Amino acid sequence: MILQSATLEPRPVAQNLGAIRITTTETSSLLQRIADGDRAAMSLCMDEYGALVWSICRRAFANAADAEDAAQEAFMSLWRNADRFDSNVASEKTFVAMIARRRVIDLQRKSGRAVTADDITTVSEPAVVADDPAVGIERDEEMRRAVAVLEAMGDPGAMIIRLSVYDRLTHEQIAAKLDLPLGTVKTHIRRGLMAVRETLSVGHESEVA
Amino acid sequence: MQPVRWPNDENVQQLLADRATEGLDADAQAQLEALIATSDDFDVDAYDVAAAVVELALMPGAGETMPEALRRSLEADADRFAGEPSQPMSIAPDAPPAPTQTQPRVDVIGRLGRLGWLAAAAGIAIAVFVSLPPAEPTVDERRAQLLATADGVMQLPWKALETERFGGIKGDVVWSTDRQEGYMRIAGIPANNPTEQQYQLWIVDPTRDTEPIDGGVFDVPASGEVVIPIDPKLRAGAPVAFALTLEKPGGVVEHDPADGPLLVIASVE
Repeated sequence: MILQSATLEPRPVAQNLGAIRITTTETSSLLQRIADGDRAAMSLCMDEYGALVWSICRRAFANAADAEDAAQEAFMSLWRNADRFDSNVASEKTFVAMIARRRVIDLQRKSGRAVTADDITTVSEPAVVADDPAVGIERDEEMRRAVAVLEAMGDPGAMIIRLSVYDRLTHEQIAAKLDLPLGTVKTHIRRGLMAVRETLSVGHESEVA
Repeated sequence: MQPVRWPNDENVQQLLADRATEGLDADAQAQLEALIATSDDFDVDAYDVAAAVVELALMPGAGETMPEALRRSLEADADRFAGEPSQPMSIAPDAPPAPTQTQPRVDVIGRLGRLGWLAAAAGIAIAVFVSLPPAEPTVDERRAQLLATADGVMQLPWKALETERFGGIKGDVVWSTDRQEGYMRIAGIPANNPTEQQYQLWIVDPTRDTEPIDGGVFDVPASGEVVIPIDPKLRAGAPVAFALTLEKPGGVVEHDPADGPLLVIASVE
């Protein structure tokens, strides 16, 4: 006897709470609540960070299906690692972005680079765009500090950082595009990220292990 | 943020910066792990944090709203991650409904659960089962059609890994990577009690993350051959094997070997 499977319409999704402003206090506890097994917090997390994660993933893959896969893996990784969130190390938004970036980088590496140097046409544009709330560019304190570091760095360092971190070119691609030695590119990235991280700790003393 | 403890070895610094921006190949990862093992404690995530803040700073706005279908998939993922069991997917008899049938298949509808992933793949609504001749081909017909019309379709026989209960397994997996469509045909394995355990399919794809892809849960009745569509939660770009385990009702996000072994496998030789 041949048995046939049956199917159903998808279950209705949780109510979209995007119109409700989530307070900083609530937001900062989302990952802790997820780590504690709070299912509702997972939906709130999607409300709060869904656009962020999707944007990171969509920009990394030319194929929308690959971007969706990456976004799914990013959220799964976020829920698995929710208990690792430490507000002394990074803001919740930064932690979410970090997790999403890691999954994207890993998937790009496994599937082959999704972005080519020819896809990037921003070399002639400023590496950093100024705050402009009128068009939605409104940065928090962490981001403003990072921008200040990049602006002080100037080119080619700021452009190298942008091409690597935001446009996701490999270091070799950047070296070829800017006609710079690979070692120079890597050094700019290393020192630039170190400078950004240091500025986030302003008011505290960093040290070398 | 708290102050950073930086690694004093410039090689470690560079590897961490490389990891945070373009990732590391296996050799570089091994090199980093070896260096970390001999280094004093430092903040291994410092470069990743910096890169994340830079990316946030360079994003031109709040971001793009995710597609609704993706949101639904994530909610289903969240349900399973949180351990909320989906209702079991029961296998309905493959008998065409009589034209004079007046009573809808309430028992079947009542036992069907939240299977958004399967519905998304098959696109078959509940109404198909209510007093109407089927507008869609049966699963068996779709399997046959896939075999007949798709290029590069795999047909992999099942092999028992746990022979005491599953030594008599028959059937195979038919899978098309291009179409992301496939079917399991299984006979000769023990029926499960859906309130205690369900069978769960796993797709092994080495090009993806280390965890196999969840292919969904299903029930096997007391007798008969089961033909079930496969709809992986994530894209299976290069599957090399399909395996079954027995899990708690609703399935699990990741299989824990402590909960039981792989039972049967269908693999590329």
